[in-house]
Amino acid sequence: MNMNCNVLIVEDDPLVRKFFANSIEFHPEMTLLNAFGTVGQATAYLKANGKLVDVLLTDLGLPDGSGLEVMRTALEINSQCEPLVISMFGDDASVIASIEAGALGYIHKDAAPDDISKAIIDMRNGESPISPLIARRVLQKFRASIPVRPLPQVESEQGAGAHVSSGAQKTSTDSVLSDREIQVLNLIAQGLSPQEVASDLYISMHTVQAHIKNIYRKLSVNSRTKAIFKASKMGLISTRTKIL
Amino acid sequence: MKFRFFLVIFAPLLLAVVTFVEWPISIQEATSKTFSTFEPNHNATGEIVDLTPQWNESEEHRSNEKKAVIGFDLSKIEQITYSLYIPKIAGHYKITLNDALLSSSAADERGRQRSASKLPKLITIPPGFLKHSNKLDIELNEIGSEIFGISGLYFGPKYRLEPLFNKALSTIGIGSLVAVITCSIMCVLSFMLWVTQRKTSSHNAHAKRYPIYFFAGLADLFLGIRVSNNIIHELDINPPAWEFLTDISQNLWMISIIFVTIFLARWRSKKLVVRATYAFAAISVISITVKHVSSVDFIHHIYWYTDFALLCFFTTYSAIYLIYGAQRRNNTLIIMGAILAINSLFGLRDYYLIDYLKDFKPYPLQQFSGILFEFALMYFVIIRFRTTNERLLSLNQDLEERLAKRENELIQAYEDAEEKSREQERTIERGKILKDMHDGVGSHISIAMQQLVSNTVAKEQILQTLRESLDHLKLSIDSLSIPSGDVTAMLANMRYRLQSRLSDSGIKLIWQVRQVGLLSSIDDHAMRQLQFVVYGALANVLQHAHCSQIKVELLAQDSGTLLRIEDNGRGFEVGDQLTASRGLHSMYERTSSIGGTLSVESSPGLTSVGIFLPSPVVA
Repeated sequence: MNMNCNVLIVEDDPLVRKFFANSIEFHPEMTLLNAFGTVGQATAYLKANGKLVDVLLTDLGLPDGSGLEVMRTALEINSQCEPLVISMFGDDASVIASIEAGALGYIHKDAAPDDISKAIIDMRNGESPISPLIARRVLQKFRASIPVRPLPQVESEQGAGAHVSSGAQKTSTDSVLSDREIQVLNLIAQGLSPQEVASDLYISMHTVQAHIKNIYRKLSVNSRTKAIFKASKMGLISTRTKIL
Repeated sequence: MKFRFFLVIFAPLLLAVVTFVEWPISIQEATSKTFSTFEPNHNATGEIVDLTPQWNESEEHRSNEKKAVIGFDLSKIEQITYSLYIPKIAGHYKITLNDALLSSSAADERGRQRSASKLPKLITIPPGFLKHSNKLDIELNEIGSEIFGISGLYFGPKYRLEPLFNKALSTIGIGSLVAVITCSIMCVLSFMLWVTQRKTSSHNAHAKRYPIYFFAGLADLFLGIRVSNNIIHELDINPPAWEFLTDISQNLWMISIIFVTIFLARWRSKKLVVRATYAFAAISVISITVKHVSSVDFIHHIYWYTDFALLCFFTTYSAIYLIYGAQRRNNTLIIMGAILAINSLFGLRDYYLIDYLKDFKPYPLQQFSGILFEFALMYFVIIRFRTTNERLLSLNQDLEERLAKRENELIQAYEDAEEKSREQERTIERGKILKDMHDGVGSHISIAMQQLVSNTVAKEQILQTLRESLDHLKLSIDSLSIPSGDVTAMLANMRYRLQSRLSDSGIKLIWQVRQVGLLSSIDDHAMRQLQFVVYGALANVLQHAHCSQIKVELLAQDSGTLLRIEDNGRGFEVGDQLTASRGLHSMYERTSSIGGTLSVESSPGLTSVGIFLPSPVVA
């Protein structure tokens, strides 16, 4: 995969924005497209140049809105864009809200420059960061909303960045967690690292990362599905409306 | 309004009709009637012949018996049944025809004449009794001191007399029966109401009853006795006693309904009225008693005067009551006043005709007009119960509304309490965060600033201090999401936060932590203290141990839970550290404060920090 990616930064704190910008600029495989401090500026840029953005780094708390709006705009314009949330504390509530809005992961504001670029590269390689608390919150969310149904497990090892095997994808629905996914989440919730999870479950690390990414995707879909259902119930949208 | 109109206009008319209109009867006046003599020249055929004896009052002045001999001739005795029709007879009687006993009032085994009803009588004359010249002997004896006599005596074919008899019987007999039944029912009902209804809660045994029901029951009782005298044929009690009872019932009935109306009008405080009524009651009882036991004329005259006085009092009272009710536009009082007035008018009419004129023919009508009182009482009871029922429904509805309002208030109060509880929790959380910031972040930043100011500390050390500060802040925020007692979650999160430092230091982490149940005695405060202890232990290892490996274990044991952190570093003198190290001393204090035990063992190559929590695990 071509690691050269275009990055857009949205961060209201100028010092942090500059820090992130410098971290990106100094990395040979990344190109900084631009850095903005408000939702308005970012949205305007995305509408003009959204197709160019590979990675979006956005803070959540912006002066004129939320980073989630920026993410949604970016994904509407360019579905291939990969958003990452800049989080001060990486607390589970903010992260899950971001993931439900479409983020693929998060970066700590206090991360070192190398860690910032590493996080972006890892995400491009199909890895998604997840903390034990986030794993617990995800488990709670899915248990509360929909019963879990066992599905065929992911067994084959794919290349970097691959998604869950097509066999599981064909039969699984986006509103339930598979047994394996639950196992992964439970082990992460107990503090195991992805390597330790892979070792425990006799699967590869890539598979573990793929499960995590899939879980995030289901979280996002689940959130969208609920929003559509709610809007439909309220008569705000017609069920025949094509959702982009 | 219509009812009042009816009473005011129609009642006097009714009174005039019953008083002055003679009941029509088809009779043929006898050409002559002889009494006490025997006239052989009367001719009577199939027509009805009036043989009513006309006693000379002067002759039977204060007489306790009356006798009459009536002669009548029959030119032809038809082969039909003949009868004697007597509309009303009172007293002990004996009727003989041609010296043969035709009819007499019954006598008890002691030979006393029993009381006889006042109902019409139709005496069938047996075949063979009649002759062409006939002599009819009538003997009447007084019962007690009651007026006795015969209102009419008619001879004729039975088929002619029987319709008259049936008509009179149905009028008086059925009317009397209906009145007696009505009075009986109302009497029972009134007394039942008096027994069951109380003025306050029925739980209060001393709550007063309603006297109005008692006097209404008495009125019904006395009127029933009075009217039953019309229809009772034979009564197996001492006749004078029965006559006394019927006599006194008339007056006590008037007294009773006066008391009923007093309570209706709430005149109980009007002592003059109440005392006068009691006085008339006492006088009536005494005068009637004296009348029945004495044969002195003077006493009898006193009785008539007291009777008249009571009647006048009753009439006056009725008029005042009616006017009072009209002035206050109170329908209840107006109706009762009108009924009293009608009854008093009938009473005056009865007194004038029967007691004054000694006319035996008319029936006393006051005993029948008294039924109006029964109907009025029934009406008022129904109205009272309807009003009570409506009030009850209204009260129930009001109660339901108040309950609903109260429920809403309770719900609102509960919601407010919940909100306050949430606010309190938020306040507590804010307090926790502030405390953590003070204890952790604040102190670390202060230390960092001091380090910078002192200019004697290396940049890396200052950076380390600031990182620890940030770590503390993150751990504080994370603790808000960690359930109380979930030590596994706390440790897992701790690892996640320190992973980068562990990775940077090149230390291998052996993670032997699995999910144990929630520790029931570890609340939010204890969790934070535990977090500080574990962080302190790990921070010490990272800073001072110079180790290559850290092992973190969490073991659930029978007596509690053991958390152990081991490293293969250089070790330290535990004894000296207890007294010299602020950090280790703080760990001991924090562990002790949450009921746990901290054990530290250290030697070169192995340092073990154990935290034992004697807390039962909740599955």
